[in-house]
Amino acid sequence: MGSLDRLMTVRESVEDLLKKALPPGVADRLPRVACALFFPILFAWIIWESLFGFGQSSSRSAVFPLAIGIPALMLALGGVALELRSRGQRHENVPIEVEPHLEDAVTLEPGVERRRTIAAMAWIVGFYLAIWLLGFMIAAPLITLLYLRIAGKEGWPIAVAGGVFSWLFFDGLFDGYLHIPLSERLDGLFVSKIEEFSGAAISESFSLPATWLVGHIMALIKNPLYFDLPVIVALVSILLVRRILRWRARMSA
Amino acid sequence: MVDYFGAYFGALFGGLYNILPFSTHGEAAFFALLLGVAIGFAVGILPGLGGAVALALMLPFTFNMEATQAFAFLLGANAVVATTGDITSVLFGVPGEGISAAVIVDGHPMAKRGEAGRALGAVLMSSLVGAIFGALVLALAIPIVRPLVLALASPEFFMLALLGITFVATLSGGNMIKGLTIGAFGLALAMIGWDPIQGVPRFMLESVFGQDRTLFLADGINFVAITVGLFAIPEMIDLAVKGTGIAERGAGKLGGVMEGVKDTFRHWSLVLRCSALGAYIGIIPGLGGGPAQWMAYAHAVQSSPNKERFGKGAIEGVLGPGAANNSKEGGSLIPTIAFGVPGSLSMAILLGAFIIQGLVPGPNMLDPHTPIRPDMAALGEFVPSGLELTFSFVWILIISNIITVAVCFLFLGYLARITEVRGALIIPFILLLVYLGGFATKNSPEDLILVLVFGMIGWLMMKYDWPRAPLLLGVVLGRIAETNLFVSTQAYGDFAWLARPGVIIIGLIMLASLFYPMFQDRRERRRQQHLAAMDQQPLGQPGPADDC
Repeated sequence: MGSLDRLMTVRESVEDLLKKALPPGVADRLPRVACALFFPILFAWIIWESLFGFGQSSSRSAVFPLAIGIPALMLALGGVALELRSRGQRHENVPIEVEPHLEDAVTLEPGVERRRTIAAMAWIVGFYLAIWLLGFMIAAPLITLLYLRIAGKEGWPIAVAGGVFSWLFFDGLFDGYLHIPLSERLDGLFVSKIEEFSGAAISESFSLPATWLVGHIMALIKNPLYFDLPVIVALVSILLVRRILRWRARMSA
Repeated sequence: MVDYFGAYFGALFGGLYNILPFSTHGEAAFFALLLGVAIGFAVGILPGLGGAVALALMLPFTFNMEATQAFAFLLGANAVVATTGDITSVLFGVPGEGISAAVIVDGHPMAKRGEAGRALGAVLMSSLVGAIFGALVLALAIPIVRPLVLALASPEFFMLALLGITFVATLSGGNMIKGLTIGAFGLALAMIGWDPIQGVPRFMLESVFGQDRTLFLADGINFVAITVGLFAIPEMIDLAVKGTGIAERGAGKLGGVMEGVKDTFRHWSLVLRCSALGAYIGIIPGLGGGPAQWMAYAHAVQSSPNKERFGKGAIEGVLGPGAANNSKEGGSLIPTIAFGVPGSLSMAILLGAFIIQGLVPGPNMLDPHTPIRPDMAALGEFVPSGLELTFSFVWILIISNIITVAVCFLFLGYLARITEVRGALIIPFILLLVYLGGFATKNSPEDLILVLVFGMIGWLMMKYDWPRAPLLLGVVLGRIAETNLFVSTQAYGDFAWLARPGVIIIGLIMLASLFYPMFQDRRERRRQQHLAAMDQQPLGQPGPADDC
């Protein structure tokens, strides 16, 4: 049993327990009410801070937060009451119909929808963690390749092509050509530690070829008559990739 | 009088001649315009990078340029960023720049419904109409602009900000309490950081996370990080769950584009009203493009008889913000040129170009006779008069938008088909662009966490039916409201500013916009009850209406 499945089983048993323990309908409304409760807590904290936090050192700074916080607290409590009174639309129990006009329409079961949602969220957090640990320069092509291969279930050629495109686009264009300081400010905790230890400039070495390639592509865009070895190599590579893709299409047909 | 109008029209045509390739200096200006348009096109499409970023990057290149050429280069880019930003908003639900967020609310659902072509056709055509309207406003406003801007002071600016905030109720699809709560949440987010009056740190959570880790919040929360998180991340989750392309039902035929163009003319009154609204908000210094788009959206909702369609792909929700987004460019140039008071952040950067060129905004820029740089004119170089240069601005806005919209229409079919590409192929690139957009505004790595946090908040809000649009409006207007409230109380006394006629008028409009939807709802409910009662009456018997 995968960890995602285990998580789902735990969640389902907690939901069952809540449904048994609470009056009918209340358990379904619980997440909505919890979501609504966030706002009164937030506004109460704003008022508290304005009165007893920074407001004590500067009352002028507290005027606007109080002017907004007090009526907003009333409104937010109204929002909670609204959620408690509402019958609660149970989105999670309504199967999602995808492409209903097509003959092979797919209907998502609530369990599948939930599982996919958690997986998508995990990938989004994973993207952030990869950037944080490896730095944007290394994470961008790597995570693109992994996503396409694992989540997208694409074949290796498309996954690698995606990774290379990502490498050229982000490392070459943004960092190398447009000088958005990705390698300096988003250098990655893990990679920077290795760089510190070994003295090698890993991120820079990784993105240098992309910068060089993009530089040539931009030169070609600026001057269509610009034609040198890297451009010839790039054109030959494009032709080769096209030939391979056509060959694959013929084989699969 | 005849002399003035002669000089006025002379400058109007002189301004056009100076940016067309019929002379050596015109040729240089025209190619600078094309280059600027190309840069603006790319910057607008890339999420998170806005007109201000583009102008800041381009400014150093104008040192060696002649004035008309420099402004053709800068304004050409700035004018089209707003137009192309809408393309990303419609296709991917990711704002091309912070201010194009209002187009997402209805534009992206249209793309998901397979009407990407129609939405793009509508937003581009309304943008063009808006841009031309804004440019005409700039041209016509020149003689009358001074009294218009001087009539407003900080109390009116504060009330205008509040008026925008009360519009959130209309943006929230009928649930006013939720809309206002979320609007207040947006205002609360705008309070994060050093307060604009005394520099006291507020709500930065330094005691929890430490001073170093919260320093990135000191100058306020990153609006772009909030926007991309709130709108793009939930869309990506949705796309991954459904496993389809962005367009769940196919991108639709190219014919949809013409339908969108026709929609612009079908709703011509709304497009013109929103253009006027955008131009007027553009004139007001400090409000900027965000409020212009959101107020236009709110106006589109308020003036529609079928409010429940909004947020689900209503064409009016695309046309209004599209028109306002571009017309505000012409409007925001007015205070910049006439008083040296920038109407927005982009205009503040444009003021830098005035300094680089050795120009002083103000009456000189409205003078049809004197060259703007007499010293250069004495050396025999080409120097336009102030009014000629101002009219060149008008023409730059018009020509750059015509070029952009024409290019977009040529490739619109291909752009719309992007929405048919499998979600799995698009998601990694969009996610990386989303994180990059959040980072690039302030080059702050911590903003990536904001993207993530607001992504999750956005998803929860979407799941539990909390409107997301009012939050952005609150963040946009928060600082403006606070600063103007402070200035009003300081300059006019604690409560005396409330007696100003402008404040009273805006206050009444505010109350009407709060209570009118309630009144309309109640009337509609009564009408429904009445109709239901009529239906239950057996034939031949008098109904409730017949008693009267």
